Amino acid sequence: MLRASGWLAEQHAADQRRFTQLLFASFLAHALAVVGLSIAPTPDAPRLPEVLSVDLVASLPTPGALPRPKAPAPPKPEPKPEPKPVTPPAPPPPPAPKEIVLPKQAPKAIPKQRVAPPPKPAPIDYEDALSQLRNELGEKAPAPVAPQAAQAPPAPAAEPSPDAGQAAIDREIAAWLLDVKRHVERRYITPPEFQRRGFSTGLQIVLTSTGELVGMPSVVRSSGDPFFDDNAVRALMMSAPIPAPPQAGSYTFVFYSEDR
Amino acid sequence: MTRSLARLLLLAALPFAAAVPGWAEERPIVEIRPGKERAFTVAVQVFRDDLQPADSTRAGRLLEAIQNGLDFNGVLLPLAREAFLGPQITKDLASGRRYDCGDWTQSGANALVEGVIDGGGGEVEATYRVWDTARCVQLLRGRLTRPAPDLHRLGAALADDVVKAFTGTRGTADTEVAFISTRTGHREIFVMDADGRNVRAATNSGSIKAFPNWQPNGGGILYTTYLKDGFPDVFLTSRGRSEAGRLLRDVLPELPKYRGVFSPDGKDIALVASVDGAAELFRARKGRRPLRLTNNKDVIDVAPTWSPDASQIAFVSDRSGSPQIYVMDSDGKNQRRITYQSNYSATPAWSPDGRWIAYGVRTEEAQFDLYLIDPKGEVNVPLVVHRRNDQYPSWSPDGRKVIFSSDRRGHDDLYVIDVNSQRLQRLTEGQKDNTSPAWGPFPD
Repeated sequence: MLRASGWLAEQHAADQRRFTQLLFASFLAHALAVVGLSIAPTPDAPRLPEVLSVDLVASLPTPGALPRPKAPAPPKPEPKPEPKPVTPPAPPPPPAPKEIVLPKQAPKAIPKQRVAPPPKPAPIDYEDALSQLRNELGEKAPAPVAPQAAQAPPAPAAEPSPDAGQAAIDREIAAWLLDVKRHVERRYITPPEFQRRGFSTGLQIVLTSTGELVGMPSVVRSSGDPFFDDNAVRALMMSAPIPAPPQAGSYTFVFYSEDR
Repeated sequence: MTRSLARLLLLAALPFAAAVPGWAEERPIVEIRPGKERAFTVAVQVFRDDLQPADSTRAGRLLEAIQNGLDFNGVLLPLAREAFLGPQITKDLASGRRYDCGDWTQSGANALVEGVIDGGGGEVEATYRVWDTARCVQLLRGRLTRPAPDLHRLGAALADDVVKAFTGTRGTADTEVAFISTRTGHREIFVMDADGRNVRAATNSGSIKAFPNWQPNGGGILYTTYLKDGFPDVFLTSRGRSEAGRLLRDVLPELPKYRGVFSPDGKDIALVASVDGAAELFRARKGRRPLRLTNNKDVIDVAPTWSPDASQIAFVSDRSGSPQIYVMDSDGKNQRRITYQSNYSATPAWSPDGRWIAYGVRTEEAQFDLYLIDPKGEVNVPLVVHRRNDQYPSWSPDGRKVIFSSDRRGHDDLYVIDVNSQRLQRLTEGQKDNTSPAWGPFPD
């Protein structure tokens, strides 16, 4: 009995040692995590990828279907239970808290779609689609996360629902796109000879967080007509400052000669 | 443990990803479609006048002429002087860089025109610069000289240059229009500036004139008149650069010639002549045997108009039972009908860019409207729809406008309209008929 209790005591001591080691290892891992996260500055930067939610723009070509973005549009490799990132009235938060990793996968696809030269775009009721989306978001999405919260520095594990955050960001971007589009189009003067020519000019410009242009827009895709290109640059310059973007940085504007 | 580490490293790397080129591509693209504004705004300063002898009104008159020219073109409209935040008068043209672009953009000006008047020997010379205020770059520095009395034409030419600096295509305020008028009691050919000013007679023989058509170099006007024996023939007026008179005296001398239209290079003439009572089309050149383009007995083929590359000719034929627009190669091959809208289509005019043919359509109310149709006959859009007769379209050489005659005031007047059906302007006044306009080419 004594021997047995001695053996048990030894076992217990060994367990305690193992437990202490595990505890230490765990502490070390967490410390490393904290250090890693604290190194990671620019609270906004990692947010950007979520902007990829641009699926709202990507799905524009089919105005009717817009508000109900089919999950396939934004490629999400991880099979998620509910494929509607934006529309669901009550965004369920099933995904594990570690979904912070999401940014890493998402950035790819949507932008590619958007960047793809839009010469062939089927007629899209862009404005209607956006406002439709805005309405839908406004009504159905309970907006659990205010836009401000979406911009808040990364709250590691406390993120209640990535979908809700993404919806807020989508809404913010949709609103900005609408504002900036209206703002610039008011200054985009197009004499008849610049219309219905099948032209489009792509401009890139760096915007400050207040909407000021940094330097001159650069033509990243010419229409082939230097006067049409110049007119696009002129319109953007005349539009400064434009409505403050969701985030400072480089943006692409495409000016078309077609009404639709 | 390893997985955790990898994840940690990934998280740590994220912030740096923001600096990687291409990251910006992930932001949404902003698509901009044409807004409602169709015309730019331009601030035109009063030019400093260095010309002797001094004339206190000269700079003001030139300014007015420039503004009139800009108004006529409609591409850049003058900014009201009260809105100027920059100087009203040009100081000098010495400095190569502007520091007041912001003042002008805040004034609402997309462009700034400044200049100096000089000259001598009975001529006025204007040296000027055109600025794009938004980009703050000089688009053009030019110089124009005109006889002192032609201040109006100088202003018009300058306005046309400003339009070119902004759009790449010259304006047409400094062009001319020929037309038929009964203002002297006979149907004579008259010429006026494109904005309707300065009307003067080009013929004055008392016989009936019809179908004026400009020589492509502006050297003369081809027209139809009747000889003493009652035979119609085509004649050329001279402006000192062409031989005036019966142009095709030796071509088809036995046939009545109803109308001639110069090819774009001015070498050939699409000719309408009567063969056994039926109007047929020929391609004629002085001193050469004409090429017959149509050959349809008992059918009328008339009103030819050349495509700008001279490869095709559009015309009117009643071979289907009613007058319709047809297109053929300029050697007469591949004749095909392109209009089907009504039972009467006439007076085609091919646009300078080749994309459209303007023509008249008789409606069910028996009045004419003007339409634009593409040469393949696939797109047909209204240009002028009005309950009175609108006929005889002719394109401005820049393709921005169409001039036509209309009896909406009770008699025929000439009107001009932008190709997008905007900005209708009446050019002629009085109680006499003015019809059959032909817009002349750009000046040399």
